Amino acid sequence: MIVLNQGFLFLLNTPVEPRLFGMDQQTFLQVAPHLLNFIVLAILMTFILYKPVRNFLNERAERIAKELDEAESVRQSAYSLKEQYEQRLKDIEIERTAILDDARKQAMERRNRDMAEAKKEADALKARADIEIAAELARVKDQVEQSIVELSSEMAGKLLGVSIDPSIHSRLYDEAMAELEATVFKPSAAPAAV
Amino acid sequence: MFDVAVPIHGVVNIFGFDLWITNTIVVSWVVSAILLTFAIVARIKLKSFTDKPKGFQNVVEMMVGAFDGFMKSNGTPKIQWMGGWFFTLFAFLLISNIFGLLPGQRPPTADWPLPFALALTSFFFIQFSGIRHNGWGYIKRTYLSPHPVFLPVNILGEFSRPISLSFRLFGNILGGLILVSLIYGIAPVIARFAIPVALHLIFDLAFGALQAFIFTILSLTFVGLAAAES
Repeated sequence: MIVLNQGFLFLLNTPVEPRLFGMDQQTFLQVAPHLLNFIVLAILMTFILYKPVRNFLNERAERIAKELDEAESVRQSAYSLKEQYEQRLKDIEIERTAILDDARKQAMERRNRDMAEAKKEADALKARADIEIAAELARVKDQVEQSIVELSSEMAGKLLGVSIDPSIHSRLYDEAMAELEATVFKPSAAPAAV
Repeated sequence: MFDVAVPIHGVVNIFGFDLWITNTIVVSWVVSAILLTFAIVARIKLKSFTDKPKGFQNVVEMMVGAFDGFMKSNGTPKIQWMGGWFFTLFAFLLISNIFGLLPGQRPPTADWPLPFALALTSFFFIQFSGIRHNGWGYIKRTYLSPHPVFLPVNILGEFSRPISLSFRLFGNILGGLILVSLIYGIAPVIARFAIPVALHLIFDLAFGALQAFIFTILSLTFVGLAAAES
């Protein structure tokens, strides 16, 4: 007889009354199909679903962990490179400062040396010019002296109508020169005054 | 009124024994078929799983990943290889317990042979783990300790585990089923669509999930303790 019971179609061999619970042989016989069913189900579920999915998750977790490790390693090396570059930049800056200081120092030394040389040259030129001026002054003085002597001699000769004794002439000349020097030839206005 | 008794669909003779094909057996096959279908679909789709899960992949990953994490946090490393069995146990109990939500159906766990069969597998794994990880000394320590004279008491203590596991689950699910069927019987016709729905949610869904979890965590604890006996 085919019956529809609780939504399922079954071939009912022997009519059996439904029951709630009973501690008899049938109850323990019922355990066997459940055991078999669950053992087969557990094996199939483990090998079809649980292990493959768990392996997939573990592999992905390992891969992600590996990628994170690699990223961390790359980050560390990048950080190390950055530190190296920063150190190199610092070294370059120090080197640049040292080169600039050295160049500045050399330039200063050269400037000082050039200035000293220029001053020395200028001093030499000035000294030479002073000597030349002094020589010129002496020469001009001699010329003026000579001209004055000649002039005074001529004037005196003309006035007196006689020739003056050289010793008197010389004494008069010295006195006149002393007066002249005291009034005209001041040391500070030497060439211009002449 | 909803009949809480286990319907029997037929009788088959196996090795001279008349085995009743009860509604529990049929529903457990249906539950197994649902789980296997899900597993096969997941396995087929596993090849197309990506690193960025979405949709169905999320569901599968959440189920297996959550249970794997649960195993790692609650079980010793020695019993990690049994994760598939515990996973199947939990999934089977969960689907079985909420099967009563379907109209006219009763949860298969409200029939004692099914919880007892599951508890027997737990009992087997308890003994197997104890012997595997601690040798035959586990049997000596478990059954003959502190003195061989305690052997009967120890046997009783060990065998009480599957019995208590099975009756705890059976009693809870059957109690909920009886309560819901009583409400179906006494509630006015209009209220039969409101009150039983709430009770179904509590007894079938909430208590069903809770009992599935309790059965699984207790089995896991017993097996883990046996494995870590030494």
